[in-house]
Amino acid sequence: MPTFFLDNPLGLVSAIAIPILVALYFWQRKATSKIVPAIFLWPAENRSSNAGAKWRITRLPLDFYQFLLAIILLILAAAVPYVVTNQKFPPLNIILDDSMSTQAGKTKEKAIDHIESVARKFPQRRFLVYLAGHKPTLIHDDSKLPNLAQIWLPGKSNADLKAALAFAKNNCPSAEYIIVTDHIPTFEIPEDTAYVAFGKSFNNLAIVNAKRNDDKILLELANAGDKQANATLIVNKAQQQLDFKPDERKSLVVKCDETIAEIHLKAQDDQLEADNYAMLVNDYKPPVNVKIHDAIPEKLKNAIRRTIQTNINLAEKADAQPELIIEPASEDTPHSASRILWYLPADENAAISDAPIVPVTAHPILDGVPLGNLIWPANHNQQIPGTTLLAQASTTLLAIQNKQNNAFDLMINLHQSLGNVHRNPAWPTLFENIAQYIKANRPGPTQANYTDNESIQLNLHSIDATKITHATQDSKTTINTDNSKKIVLEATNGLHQFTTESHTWNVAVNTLDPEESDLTNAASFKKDIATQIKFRQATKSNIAWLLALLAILVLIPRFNYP
Amino acid sequence: MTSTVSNIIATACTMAQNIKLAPIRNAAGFDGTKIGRKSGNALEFVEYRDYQQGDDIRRLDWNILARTDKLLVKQYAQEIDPRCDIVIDQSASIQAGEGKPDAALAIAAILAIAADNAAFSTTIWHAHDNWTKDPFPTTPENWTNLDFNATLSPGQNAKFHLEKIQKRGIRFIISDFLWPQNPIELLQAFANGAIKTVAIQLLNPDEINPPPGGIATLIDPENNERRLLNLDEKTIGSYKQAIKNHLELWNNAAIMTGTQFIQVNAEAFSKAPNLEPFLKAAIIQYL
Repeated sequence: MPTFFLDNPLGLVSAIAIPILVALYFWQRKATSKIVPAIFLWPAENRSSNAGAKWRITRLPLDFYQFLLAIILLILAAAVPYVVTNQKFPPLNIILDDSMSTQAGKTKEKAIDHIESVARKFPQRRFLVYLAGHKPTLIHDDSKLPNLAQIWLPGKSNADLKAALAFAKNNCPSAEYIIVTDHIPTFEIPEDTAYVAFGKSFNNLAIVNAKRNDDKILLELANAGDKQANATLIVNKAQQQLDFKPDERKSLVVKCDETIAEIHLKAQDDQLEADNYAMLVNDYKPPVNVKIHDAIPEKLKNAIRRTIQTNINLAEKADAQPELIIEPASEDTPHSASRILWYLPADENAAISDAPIVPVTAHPILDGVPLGNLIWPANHNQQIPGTTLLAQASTTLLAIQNKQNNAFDLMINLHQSLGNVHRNPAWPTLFENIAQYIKANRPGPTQANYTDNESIQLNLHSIDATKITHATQDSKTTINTDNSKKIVLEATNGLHQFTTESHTWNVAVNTLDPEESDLTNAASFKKDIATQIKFRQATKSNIAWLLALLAILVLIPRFNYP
Repeated sequence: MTSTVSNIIATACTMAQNIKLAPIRNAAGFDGTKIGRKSGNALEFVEYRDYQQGDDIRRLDWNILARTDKLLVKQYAQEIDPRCDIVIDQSASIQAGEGKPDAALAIAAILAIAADNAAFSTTIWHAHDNWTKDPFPTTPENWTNLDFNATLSPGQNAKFHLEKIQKRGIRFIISDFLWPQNPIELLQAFANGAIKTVAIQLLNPDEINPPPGGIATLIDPENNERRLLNLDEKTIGSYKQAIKNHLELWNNAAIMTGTQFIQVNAEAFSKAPNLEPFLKAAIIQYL
């Protein structure tokens, strides 16, 4: 079905001439008077009136309507109307940068105005709106443009525009695309994509990083800009004044005893408020209690104990439930806790190979473990169950086998002499990773503080909960666990509280990013779709000439007048 | 008096130097020159009649009284001047037509001079809302009260003022006769007691045949009535028919009342006064 549009809506401004001309017309009618000697010889005025009406309205002559119609037609022609067939227009994919920097200045307002002006030209086409964010999300797909001010809520610590464009192209191919952001493009923009940026460079004070461990908070504060600045740092109720030189970055350690620390970097005339706040939850987790089986050889036992003593994430308390049991594989005592099953080869079976030790399967336990220069005496004929993590040639050195309760058995094929493994940085790293892995798999959130590009993970093993209440500042929902042992949620900015019948966990999500807070990178930029003109020329028919012709036809009878 | 009016009156006076009103021949047998029936002061004896109360006792014929005891008075021929009354319609509507006031005054001046040349006793009537006599009827240069601003036309007020006009005279009325009142009533009243009545109608061509135009408010200067009209062919056609009927009505009324009806192109006359219409109508003649 054809639809009418205006290519030059400003042409309608001339419509203000109508009341002016009508007023002039009536004034001219009044002003043109003629004195006649015998008015009774002239026909009476042609008037129409309603019975009892106080005012009688003079019926206007045909000329008046002719001119009025001609003027209206000419005004419409000046607005350059055209007819389009909607189906011929490709959908418009609008990719919105929802990173927090687009909150600065009037970026968002200008961008919305621009999109609406683009949309007005072809209002009936299909509109798809995406929020770029860390992962692109389609939030609207309809023949009407949504209220962008309501659905475009920038607040992410970053927006991957390139990934969002790729997502949009995959989701809706053969269409037009427009990226709306606040900075110049950092990648090549395809021909079928428009790119508009309405950013403006500002100085900005921001919290660019925040970490917490127990009662200590590490803050990184930045003054992105070429001017000196001062601010007040408020951590819950404690305040301190800070002075910043141009482009200065400060690192501070602040002590906080409260479970939840609310941090506010208060500065005057700050163009971006979002990066002046952070919230950190106490992330303290008790160390992993280790039980070393008596059957473990003394040298190995000593090496393990030295590591436990130097690692705050490990402890050996006899009066507490062990979370990690270290025992010879020959013992294999069933236990719900995680275990290190040590395959201790007999002296005659142990051998050292020159083959390189390589990781076979990626696993958090191997993160950062240096594998060079390791002398690893092992039984090269030993069959090890589970998933091989480390191997030397065909020999499994390290394997893992998960248990139903989220615990694991870690099998180590290592002679009790230990080669140089216990003197290598690989040794403490391996134990640190094991401790962290166990801590991360404890019931509850894997960590207390997230950034918004992460996902909140809740471990529910050993928790008998069918429902979890999830409360944020703005909402409160109930999550059905469906007997799953792990729940993954999108990390949205703010404080989250998860409650089961037996547990309550707090999680804070922050949107801090040094690059995003550097508003000196914001700029204006515009690139139109190269193929856009072709699309529109092919589908629209200008009818301004038709209206102008009609106006002339209406006026032709007037040309006979003297 | 404006310079334009002065000029046209002067021109008219010059033109009228050699003309006089034509002698009147009518059913009463008077030629309008000398005879009157009242006892007057003339020397020519006419007859006796019985003395009536109020007669001048000096006119009693004492000889007859002495001889017959009859009270008789001598009646002499009354020496009367032939009268001419010229009524100028000075209503505001005359002002509406271009040259009409000038033409009206020029024609009145010609007639006044011509009447004077014919030894008529002339009266100029300025037909304002109240009709007034001009104190210098035979010297048009001295006429006063020449504004055309009366809000009443002769059609509305003539019956109140015609009684002021002496009878047995020749009467002229100069107007456009564009008023809605019945013409017979006016012409009958005007002709009543007059030896002769002449109606001189001043009209302009564009009043008979107006051109079409745009939308305009027509204003009647006398009653300030307004009509907003589109002066298109249809409206003009309607007006032409109306004025045609109106003129026909006046012609018929003039015939019925024995009034001589003369139509003058006012616009042309005001620019170039001439005697032709009046010579042709035998109202005036050369001396």
